[in-house]
Amino acid sequence: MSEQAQRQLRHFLTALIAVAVFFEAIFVAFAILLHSVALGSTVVIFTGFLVTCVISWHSMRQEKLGRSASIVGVSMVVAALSLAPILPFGYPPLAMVPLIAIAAMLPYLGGHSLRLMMIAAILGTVSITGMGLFFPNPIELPRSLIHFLLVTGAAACSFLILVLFFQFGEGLRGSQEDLQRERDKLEIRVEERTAELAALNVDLRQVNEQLNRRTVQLAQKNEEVEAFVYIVSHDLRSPLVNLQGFSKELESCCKELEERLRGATLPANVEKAVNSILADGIYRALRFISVSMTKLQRLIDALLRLSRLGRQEYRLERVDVGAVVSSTLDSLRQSIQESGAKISVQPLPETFADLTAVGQVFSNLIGNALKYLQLGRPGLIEIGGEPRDAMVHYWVRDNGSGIHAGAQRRLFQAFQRFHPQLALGDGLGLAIIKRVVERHGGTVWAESTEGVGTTFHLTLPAVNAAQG
Amino acid sequence: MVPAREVSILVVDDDEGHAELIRINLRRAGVSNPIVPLPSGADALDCVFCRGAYAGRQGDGELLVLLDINMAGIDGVEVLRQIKANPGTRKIPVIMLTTTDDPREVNRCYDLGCNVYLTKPVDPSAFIDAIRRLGLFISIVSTPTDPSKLS
Repeated sequence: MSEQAQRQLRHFLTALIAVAVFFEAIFVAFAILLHSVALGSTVVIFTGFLVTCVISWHSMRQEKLGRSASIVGVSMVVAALSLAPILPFGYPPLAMVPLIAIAAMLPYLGGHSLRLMMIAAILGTVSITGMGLFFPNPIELPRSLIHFLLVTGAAACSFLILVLFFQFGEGLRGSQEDLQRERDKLEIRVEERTAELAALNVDLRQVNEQLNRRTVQLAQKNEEVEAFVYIVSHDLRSPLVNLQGFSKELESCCKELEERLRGATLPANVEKAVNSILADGIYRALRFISVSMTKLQRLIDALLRLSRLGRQEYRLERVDVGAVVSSTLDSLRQSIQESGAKISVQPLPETFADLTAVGQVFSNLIGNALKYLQLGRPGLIEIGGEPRDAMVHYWVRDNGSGIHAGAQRRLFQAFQRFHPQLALGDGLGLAIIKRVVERHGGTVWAESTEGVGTTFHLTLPAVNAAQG
Repeated sequence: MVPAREVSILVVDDDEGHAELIRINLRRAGVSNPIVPLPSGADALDCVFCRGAYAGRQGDGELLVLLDINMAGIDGVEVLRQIKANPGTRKIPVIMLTTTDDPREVNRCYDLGCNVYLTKPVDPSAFIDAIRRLGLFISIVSTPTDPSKLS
């Protein structure tokens, strides 16, 4: 119950008491004037009874059965008291009325209401019994002032006690009811929130399903693209077989022609012209064709390699990266010696990845570092690694020629060459590294300053306890 | 060195150039057997089973099939499957000759019973080398097919 409602109720009850006291005063005066004390007291007490009935009705409207019942009970006590002076059969039976009232109201009573009822009943009983002891003959008493005082006093006491208790209890009951109401409200809120959460959960599940679908679609698309690259590179190979086969054929035909011409005697000018056609025309053209075809073949092979990279099944295991790096260095020993580069390898944490793929990554990175060392200064290559959350961060740092800032964006794209003059390559090494690392759930990036050097960074999954 | 019972070589390839290169290189390798170029899988099957346009083919000559995998229509794998599924033609040696070196494809062909698998090398000298070795292989291979079992 809100504070305002409590205040209103209190005002209402106070008004009721005031009205009761007012009527009591009027009727008391009236009774004294008429010398009809018994009638006066009876009227007074009935007024109280009426008031309590109104309160009871009000409580009933608010569905507060306990309160309503206790008020009705008290009203009965009061009524019994008011009837006492005018009934001919004396007090003792009346004394039973409050007790009967309690019994009648018991099913509706509890806690505070019960206490209130019992006190009222005891008071009623005591006062009635008291009157019986002092004034054994009720018919003689009505004109007695003492009787009037006793009856009125007892009734007023009962009434006041009722109201006082009612008000006293209001706070407790009110707070209990408030508590209950708050609890109900909370329960409703909880239900609402639960419903909202359930709805959100459904949404989330849908979003999740959508995401899963998208992931599957993406994986399918990826596979399609890789299959496409595979098919295309095969289909490209087919005409290449012809191009190379027949240019070889053409070449051997020309050689044969040359042989035949050498054996034959031709006019000098014709021989010169024919030789020029063969050397400057046909053989030159064949050389260009051959170079282009070799290039085309390299590209197709690279495409095929790249497409296989995505199709290759990974076997994840605990990989000793230190051992991988040292075997890579072994296989590169000759080019390391030739380059005169100094290589320092820090202790490298293990990773949980595909052994071959990891080997490929480090072999490409170290190979690159060796290939693109700055001429005229001693090469320095550093390989390091450290755990970073669930991943391991590795790096390969060199003091080589570096990469032009404008070109770094294209660094990991396929077929990009940055120093074609320094070394041979198919422009695929870094693209392969990126593919491998990303398939393992890692990332790869580079920091480079032209003329100073480059550091390649990559992350691969760390070995967790379960995998160890 | 022509074998007593002459072996006809069927070159099944829908790329005319490949077929021609194979022919040229086989000849250059000293293989003098009759070489029959067949432009499709359907032609290859007709020829092997002596039907359709090849109904009148003499079935008593022995065969060796050089088979390209990637062909439009009936592909090499299907031709291989049908040849190896028929008891009468099962013993015809089949050499798969293709640009594909996809291990799954290779395994599938071996599972179906192909005898040799050759990747068409793009490098001409390697290709010629392979064909030469093939020529040598063809000249020594024995192909004991019983013609009466041909369907």
